[in-house]
Amino acid sequence: MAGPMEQFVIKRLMPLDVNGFDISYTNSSLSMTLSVLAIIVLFSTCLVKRSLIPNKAQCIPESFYEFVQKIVIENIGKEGLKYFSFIFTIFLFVFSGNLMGLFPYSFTFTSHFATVGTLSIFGLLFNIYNGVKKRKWGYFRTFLPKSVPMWLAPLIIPIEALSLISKSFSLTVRLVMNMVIGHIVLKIFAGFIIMMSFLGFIPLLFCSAIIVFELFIACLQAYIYTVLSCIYLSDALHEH
Amino acid sequence: MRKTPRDIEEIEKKISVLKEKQNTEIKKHTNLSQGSIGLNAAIELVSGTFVGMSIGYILDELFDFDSVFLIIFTIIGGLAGLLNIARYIKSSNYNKEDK
Repeated sequence: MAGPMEQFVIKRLMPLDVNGFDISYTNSSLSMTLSVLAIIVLFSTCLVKRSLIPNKAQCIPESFYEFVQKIVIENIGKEGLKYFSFIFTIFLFVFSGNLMGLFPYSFTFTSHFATVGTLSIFGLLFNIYNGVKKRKWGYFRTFLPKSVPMWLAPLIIPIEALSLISKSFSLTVRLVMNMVIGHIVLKIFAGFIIMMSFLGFIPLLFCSAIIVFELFIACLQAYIYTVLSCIYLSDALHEH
Repeated sequence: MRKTPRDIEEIEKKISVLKEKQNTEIKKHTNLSQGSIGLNAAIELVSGTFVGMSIGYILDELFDFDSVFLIIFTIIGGLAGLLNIARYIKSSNYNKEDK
């Protein structure tokens, strides 16, 4: 029987090598492509017949839109709506990735440091860019708050810089950890179904309960990732 | 004294400005349970230390030093983690008082 960690193994589907760089199309890439396609299909089919008073299908993308819009306004303020498209993309990508992982034989790309880490680093660079664009040199005041005496600068600046970098790392750890743990527990209980033969219905019940719980976690983690991204963006845009 | 349409217009303007202000008020952090606050605090500390350690290790490899940067940056990373925890707990408390 396959081990609980085997579901996270990246397999090359289309080996590609460019100047010594391995850019193979993997099962993770396939999962990402499928989740993005799923979002595009959902949004384009639901928004075919657009009307001022939304119909049932139109309500689905609109409820997603309003949900994320509310998060952005609550955490960044109305000026945050300028960055709405970025936050909305992050939310949909993480949300669809988390949900995609719950399908049998699918691959959870949000359980990989490489994927979520890249997304978080991209978010960090986006925050720095917009912080510098809005506050100019004032942005670098983040690394040395006004109340701090100058003789403490050699200690405070590296601490603040590391604090900024570690935020994106903690964002990654939080999501990856939740996804990995949930899927491992699910796999272990699924393994018990076969091992316990005729008593297998007991772990099957547990598995069903865990699936529902995982569904909740998938939505919650996408929400947390989005909220924290908004908070970090707000920190970059506003002075402490 | 009777209100003129102009006065009413002014009052309406004031109300809309106040409503706008209320809407744009920035709310920090969502409502979280004690357990999740503890878990998030632990993640912040571990992340800070790990990032510091990684940077220290990379600098040691680059400049061929014998774990000098590793020690310095692990300490700085730990302090950065503590700073993140302090900020996180402060904002959680702020949210509690806000309720």
